[in-house]
Amino acid sequence: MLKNLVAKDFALSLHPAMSIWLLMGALLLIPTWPYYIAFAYVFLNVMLLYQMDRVNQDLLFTAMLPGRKRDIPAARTTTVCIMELAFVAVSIPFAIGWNFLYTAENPISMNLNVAFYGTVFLMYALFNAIFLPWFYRSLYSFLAPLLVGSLVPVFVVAGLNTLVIVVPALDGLFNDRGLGHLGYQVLALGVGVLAWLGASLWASARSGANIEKADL
Amino acid sequence: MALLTVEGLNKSYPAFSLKDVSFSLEPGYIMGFVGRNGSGKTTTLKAIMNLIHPQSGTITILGQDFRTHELDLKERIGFGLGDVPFYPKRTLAAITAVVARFYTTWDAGLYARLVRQFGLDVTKKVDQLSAGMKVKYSLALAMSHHAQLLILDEPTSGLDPVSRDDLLYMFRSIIESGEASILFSTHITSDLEKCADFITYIRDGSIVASRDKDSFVDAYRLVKGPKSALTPNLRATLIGCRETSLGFTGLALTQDLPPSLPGIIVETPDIESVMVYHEMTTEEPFVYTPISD
Repeated sequence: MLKNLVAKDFALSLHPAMSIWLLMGALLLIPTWPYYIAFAYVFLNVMLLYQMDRVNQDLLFTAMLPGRKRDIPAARTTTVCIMELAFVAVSIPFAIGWNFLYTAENPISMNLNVAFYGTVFLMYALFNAIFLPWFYRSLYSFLAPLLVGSLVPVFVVAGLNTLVIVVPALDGLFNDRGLGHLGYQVLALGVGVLAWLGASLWASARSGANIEKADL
Repeated sequence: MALLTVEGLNKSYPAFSLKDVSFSLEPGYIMGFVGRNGSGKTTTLKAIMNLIHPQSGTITILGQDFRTHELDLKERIGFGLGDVPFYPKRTLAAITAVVARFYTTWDAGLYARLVRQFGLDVTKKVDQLSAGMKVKYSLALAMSHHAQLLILDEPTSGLDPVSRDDLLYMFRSIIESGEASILFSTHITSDLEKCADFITYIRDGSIVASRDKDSFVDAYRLVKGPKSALTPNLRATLIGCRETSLGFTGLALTQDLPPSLPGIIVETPDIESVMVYHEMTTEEPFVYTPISD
């Protein structure tokens, strides 16, 4: 059932033009920049998706199809996670390119290394945990959940990136561009991915409980 | 065993409430769900489909609680919401391809036949369809998976008289096997006269009556006579009454009327009269004053 609902999202809900935002991964080729911003463009895609849902009366359409009401946010969480993974996947060649093109350190945020991607997954974890349950509680107002759900993760990850570059001990371990501290960086990535998986599962369950109480 | 049982459904909104809505539908019958605009028809149908969350009440379909068996039971229901424009910029073919995936009993042959019969062009986008064609498309989707229970909200609104007649004839053929039933809401009472076996009448969120069509109208009498015959006692028995300079016409429960009423015509009403006289307000008649020189 979940598979059918996700297939519905890709066949009807997502517009092909939305994939253009994936090209924001190319922003990683800027020499110095707060690179986590490039990954926040996925939030714009989510906003477009929910705006189109409203126009298309998607919630009512989906709720009429065979399936439990709580499957609707579970499927949508999966779709959002796929969109986030697509942003990460498209960005990787650009991140590798940045490492080849530039030798100087990035003074604004973390360098594009493995640990940086841990912070990206943490940003997505916070977004999923804030936006999805909030939206499925109110159902028809997505602007406030989306604004808070987008800004809080960006500020948290901005703070984390700043902390890493200003604290020498953290900078040495997590901002290193070589392979010297790869173990720590993989650990940081693992923590980010686990946080993202955990937050997404929690968001899905919480959103499911919320939609059961809501009126379509 | 009843195909659908609704028991004690309650749902409160700031300006409207469903109050203890209960009725049931046996297999092989058509039930017309009638009431004026805003009486609670769509809210009740949405509550049956778990689209809204009632404060209390149970929905049982084929003996199973709908909320605990929502997944299985939705496969056995065809639900159509009038001409609601889902995905207006998508073609019918694209929407059908998605919907068909959800039903293990989807019958592509039946769908193709319905598309032909309804004259639908599947390459058209939803917003290119007329209101009537939207209703027909919604029906084609609801019927193409051999649902045992069809729940249709205002399926005949927006249809021309020929299409409406065709549709009502189709409703009769759907229930012929004795296994399927149709619950459809409407405010077009002539549809009910033509094809409904049972009538459930909802007024201001409460069920006034839910019974077979003949006994529904037989429970009421239309009384007509000169103004002089409208005694205070008779007036007290009337559910609704319309007075003109020539006389009065009113509706009463058959059981409330005395055996003989000299000088008064007593008739069996049609469904529309039952509804109209029930809904009459006690407010002063509206007086329209046009601009004059």
